[in-house]
Amino acid sequence: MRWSLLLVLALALAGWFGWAQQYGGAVVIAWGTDAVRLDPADMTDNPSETVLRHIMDGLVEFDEQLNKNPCLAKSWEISEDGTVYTFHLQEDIKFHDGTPFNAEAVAFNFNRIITQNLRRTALFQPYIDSVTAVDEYTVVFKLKAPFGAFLNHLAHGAALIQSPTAVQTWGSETGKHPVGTGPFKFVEWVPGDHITLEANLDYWRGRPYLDRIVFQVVPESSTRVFRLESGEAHVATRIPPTEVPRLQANLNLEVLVRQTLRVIYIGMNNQKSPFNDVRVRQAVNYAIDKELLCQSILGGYADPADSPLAPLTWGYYSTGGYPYDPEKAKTLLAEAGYPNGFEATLYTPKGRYLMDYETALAVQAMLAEVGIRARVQVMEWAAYLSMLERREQEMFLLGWAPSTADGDWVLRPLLHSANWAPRDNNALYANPEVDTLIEQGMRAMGEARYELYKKAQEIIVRDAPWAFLYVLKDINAYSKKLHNVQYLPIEILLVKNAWLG
Amino acid sequence: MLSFFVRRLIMLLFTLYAVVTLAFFVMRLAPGDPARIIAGFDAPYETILALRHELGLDRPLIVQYGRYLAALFRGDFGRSYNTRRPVLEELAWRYKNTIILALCAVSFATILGMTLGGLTALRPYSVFDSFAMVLALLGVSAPIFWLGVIFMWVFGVKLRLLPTGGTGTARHIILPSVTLGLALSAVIARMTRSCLLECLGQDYVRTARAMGFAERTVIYRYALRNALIPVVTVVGLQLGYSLAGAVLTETVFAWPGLGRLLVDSIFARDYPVVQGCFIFVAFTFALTNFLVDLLYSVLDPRIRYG
Repeated sequence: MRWSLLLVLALALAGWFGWAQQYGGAVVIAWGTDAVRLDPADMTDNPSETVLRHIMDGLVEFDEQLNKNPCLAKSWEISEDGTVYTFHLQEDIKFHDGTPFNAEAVAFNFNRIITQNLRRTALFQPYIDSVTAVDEYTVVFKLKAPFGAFLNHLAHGAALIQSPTAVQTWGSETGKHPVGTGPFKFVEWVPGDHITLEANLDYWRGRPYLDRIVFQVVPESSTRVFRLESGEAHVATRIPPTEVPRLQANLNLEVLVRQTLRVIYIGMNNQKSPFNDVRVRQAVNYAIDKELLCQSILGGYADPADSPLAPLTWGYYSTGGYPYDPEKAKTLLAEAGYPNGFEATLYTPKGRYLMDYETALAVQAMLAEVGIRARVQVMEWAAYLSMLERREQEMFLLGWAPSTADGDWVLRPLLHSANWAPRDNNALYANPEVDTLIEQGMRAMGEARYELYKKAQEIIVRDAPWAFLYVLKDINAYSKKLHNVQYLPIEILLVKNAWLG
Repeated sequence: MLSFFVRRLIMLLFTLYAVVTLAFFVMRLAPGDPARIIAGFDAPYETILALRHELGLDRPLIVQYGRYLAALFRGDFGRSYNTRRPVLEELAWRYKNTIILALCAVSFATILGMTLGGLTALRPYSVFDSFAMVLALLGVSAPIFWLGVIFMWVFGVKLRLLPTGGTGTARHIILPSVTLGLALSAVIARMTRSCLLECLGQDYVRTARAMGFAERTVIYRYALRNALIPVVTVVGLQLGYSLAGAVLTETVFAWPGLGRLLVDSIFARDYPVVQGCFIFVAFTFALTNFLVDLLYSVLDPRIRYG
């Protein structure tokens, strides 16, 4: 009796301080851009994926460390040769519209994406041969060839499962009426203003704590911060570093700083003089003080990069990278026949990535120290991308984050010689050895695959097609009333398991 | 009067055609590939190629232009490259918001500007006059961005009287329209002041005073009425300006209006939406000008359109 009284008291106290999970309440998230289309197979933007990850589940899901955990698939088997994936599904689950979730529904979703020309078709169509419902709760994926990153593609936002009935009903309007099995149901979308979701009380893992989530579009970052400070919003995304000290001083707010998968680099044209000489490219790497960039330009909101992959990307291997060594840079330049340096153009976008232009200016100064006279040229983003297609660039600042969280989706598009610009290998890097490792990496699994990527990263870093700069961090802030906010390093913030205390 | 209408209508059609054509080609002359922007930052190249084909961007420019004009003629503004929603659907709700913001801001600006301008003209070169005119100067030169942030911080964060932006209730419109209105009111105030001062020095005012009319009658019936014509022109222009150029206010206060949509669409190379915005803005501008012209004849019976 006394114990139970104590327990009740403890629970009440815990509730008072917001420790225990509580049901109810609406959370407002202030973010910079509106979603584009709420159809997983047909969207490529981060806000759409974030909203959809609250409405729909996938067969497999990422946790905060990007492990691939069972979700709508209870378990799975992969055939010896890596070409057949058999998934055993959760039973007795219904979509928000009452349609039963089963193997047919899964097959419908994937057949739609691989047979139609949707914006995420290319993420599945090249790999999947067929998807068949074997029985009510077993679905089999046959691949065209073994593909080591396949589970990562299934954990991607594009592989979220939506109700076949809804897709058939809405047709081309599917992106406006998302229906899934997830913890939240779609309520309304006022373009440019807000998206509202409400709790799915029948969610198969138990009802979510929150009653409602409202995603509000607030394009200006200082306004987002005001929203949070005034209590109108519970979460504000993409906080400018300059605002962080003020928010940290506010006892009601929590600032969440997490590393992303986004590597910022300066690509060099590997086919154009003087950058076709590996010694010049290595010299550029030695000449840049990555540590200083991270601390002074980015205010600590980045970590030095030592590979084309970010540490949290699957397959990352720490090569040690290039330490800051201007003397060595000068020696290498002299060996390459440029004792007095040379002139080059460094292209950069402005405002696309955190402190991108400022970084370019700092790099310009660092390169000047070793005799490389770089002209910094700023270009508007759309024009910038078109410029890169023409293969005329000398040096260019760019960032990449694989939305599949797998090394394959960095190495293959950016560094395989088959993918030269106008594809994404803008540095025009070509090394047959690396090409082979990337191709073998696609077919291998597990540890063997990791070894291949390790080897590839060692060679790439030695070849230095880019100057590896840093891995960006993402800054978000939220009210301390909100608990259990989750952050996936693919730049997605989730409140589906959160509660208001 | 009827022929005036017809003439203006034909002119409007020509203007719209010129705007459409200009928007169409200027957007396509600018470097940048919509498919690449829409496909997302890590899209496979196949997606980009497929998108180019889907959007018809792989056809000759003149064919794209012809198709666009033909569709437009049927009232079809096309679909947004980015969201795939019909352009009219994208525009309608933003246009409504922009009109609300513009009308509120211009009404506020007109009331404030004309009151300040009128009062200062009646007491020219007084302390009040200098004070009000310095204030007006500040209003013109203070960046909307800065003013908006200050208001938001004071009224939204510190006093918590008003929402810091967004839409929903009537309270949401107060801060954005006051911010935008203050900037506009300065011009109106200065215009009212100088025109009224000028009219007060005219012969007919002296005559009216000599005839023994009450000062109120002299000011309201004779001076102010004549002073209003340039002021109305300015107000009309301001209305047009705030319909098209309230981008900063819309961005700072997260007000989903046409200006923001236009700027976002330009960066995203969403050609159909940009063209749609241009048409709407041009149409509204022309309409406002037309209404201003009509108002002239109400204010000054000597002006007749025929």
